[in-house]
Amino acid sequence: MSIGLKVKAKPLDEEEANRPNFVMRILRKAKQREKVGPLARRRERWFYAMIAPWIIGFIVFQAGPIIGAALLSVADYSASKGITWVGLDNYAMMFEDPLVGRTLLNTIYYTFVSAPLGLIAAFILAFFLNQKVRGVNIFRTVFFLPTIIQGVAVYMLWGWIFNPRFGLVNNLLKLIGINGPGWIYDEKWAMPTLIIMSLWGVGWMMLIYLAGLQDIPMELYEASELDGASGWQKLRYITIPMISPVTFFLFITSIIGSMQVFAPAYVLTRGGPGYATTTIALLIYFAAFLWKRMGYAGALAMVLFVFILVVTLVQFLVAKRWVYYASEVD
Amino acid sequence: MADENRTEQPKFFQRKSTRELTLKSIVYLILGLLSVAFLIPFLWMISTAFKDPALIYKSPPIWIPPEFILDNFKRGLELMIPSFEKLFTNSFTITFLSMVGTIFSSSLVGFAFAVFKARGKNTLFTLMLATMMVPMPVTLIPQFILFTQLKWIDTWRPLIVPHFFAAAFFVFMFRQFFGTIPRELFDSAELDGCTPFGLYWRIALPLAKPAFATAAIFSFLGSWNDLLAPLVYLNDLNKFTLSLGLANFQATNYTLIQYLMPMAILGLIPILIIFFLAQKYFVQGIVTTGMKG
Repeated sequence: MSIGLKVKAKPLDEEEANRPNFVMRILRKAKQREKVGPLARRRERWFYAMIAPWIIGFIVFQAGPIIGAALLSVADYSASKGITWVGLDNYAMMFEDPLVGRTLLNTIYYTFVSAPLGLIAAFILAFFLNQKVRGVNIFRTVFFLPTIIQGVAVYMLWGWIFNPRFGLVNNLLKLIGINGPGWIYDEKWAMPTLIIMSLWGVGWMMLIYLAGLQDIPMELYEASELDGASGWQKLRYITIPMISPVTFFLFITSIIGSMQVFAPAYVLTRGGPGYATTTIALLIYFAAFLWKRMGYAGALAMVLFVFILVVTLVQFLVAKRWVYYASEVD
Repeated sequence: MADENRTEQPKFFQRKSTRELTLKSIVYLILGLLSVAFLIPFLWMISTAFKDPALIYKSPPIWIPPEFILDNFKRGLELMIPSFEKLFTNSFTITFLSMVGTIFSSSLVGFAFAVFKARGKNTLFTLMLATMMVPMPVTLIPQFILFTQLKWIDTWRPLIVPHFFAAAFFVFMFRQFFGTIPRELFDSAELDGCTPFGLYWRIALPLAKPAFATAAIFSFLGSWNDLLAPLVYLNDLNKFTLSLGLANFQATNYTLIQYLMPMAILGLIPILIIFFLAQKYFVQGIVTTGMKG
């Protein structure tokens, strides 16, 4: 298995992995430090010189801004007046603002429906593509294409497809006698519409699943066939557990991505109707750039940040129960 | 990694021959139906764009227009503000410069992470991977204030300059790629007196063409499709990107479907061209890094 989190966990050099225990590691490190010769030292200097662009970028565009957002959340900022400190006022305001709870719920709704559905859809696509089909490349292209073009042009297209009066969906529904809903113009249906749109872009997850499926050793299936396992049993007891690290990785990344969703909602609904599709990311944008309340937006951003961290952490904790790593058994 | 040449596949649907045949046809049927579902939005877009506006609102829908007309494209282009060419050139300039910045800075950093041994390297690498989880809305506002102080608002600089400081995703990709080059190659070059920078420039780079192509495509798409950053940093219509121009067009002409669809098609064409030229690199990139752009 060469995808996903396992790659990150693997140390780069073998030596490190073979270190027997904590004490030996310290002893060896001390020894190494003595042995660092002029060549190694020169290489180390080159290493730091070469990664300098990233270090500078990290400080200026990542770490700095994160600290900045934390500071901003207890302050207010305007281009003319600069920064004024307001303490925890911004956080206090959040509790009184009904929009905050609403947008948090919207974000949770979108994330925890679209991410699992996307995973299931991607798995199903990959599973069928993995069945020795002819023309697999054509199918793969078809399913993958929408991922690439996600952008304003595609949101325009969806706006037309889900047009309540003349759009394709309601037009087709009318043919079978169903009066379709108002989709993005209907408070109840706007969020489901965005979720359906997101499902169109599961191609990248499908590709990763497909690679993962092809990595599952054939022997496992052959052995189970000898034991008389049915197709369903093979799926349930071999494929799904063996693919679980991939599922875990995709779940983590798609949840993080979905919680920040901005562009489709901005282009199609501007967060509406009412506030039905205002996600946290949209609220932050509105607060900062429409209402010019930078400090408040900073506080909201911190909430989003902590929210994502907590959700990711919980996923890592729960992962032990359902993610299976083949290497743990060997 | 996916083994492209693997012929054996797990047999879920193959036990008895008649059953095998039915199950196989079910697989094809499902794949076929799903393909249609995935393609219909495109077909509908094309059909709408080339139709006489009077036929657009017909029910049941007319899929193949009696005659294909280009008038919608012409009129749509006239309505684009500032002009489609202007927006296209703007987007292209920004995207191209960002792409160059991204691939050179990220490949250099990825090379260093893959090839050199240094104290603190693993910690830094973990830190870098962790930055991929930092949500964009969190850093957006402080960055906006930073660029305001620098007087970079309403210029392209906030959209281009940050890309010259390596992006974690691409560094990871390049590090994975350079890790597959045999170490002996670098060791022997070093013995021959090659400088560490020379190892990157003269040995690693020429070997990294596939990785470069993959990174270039992902970076291109990322910048080309980006809406949030241009929306926040650009005010002057003449500096708008195509994404922003299209979003604007959609907001002001949302009832004029007959012009929206042709403009959407024109907006997609550059991406489609890149996709079909470089599909192989997409697949490779996604599979080796496990991520999207």
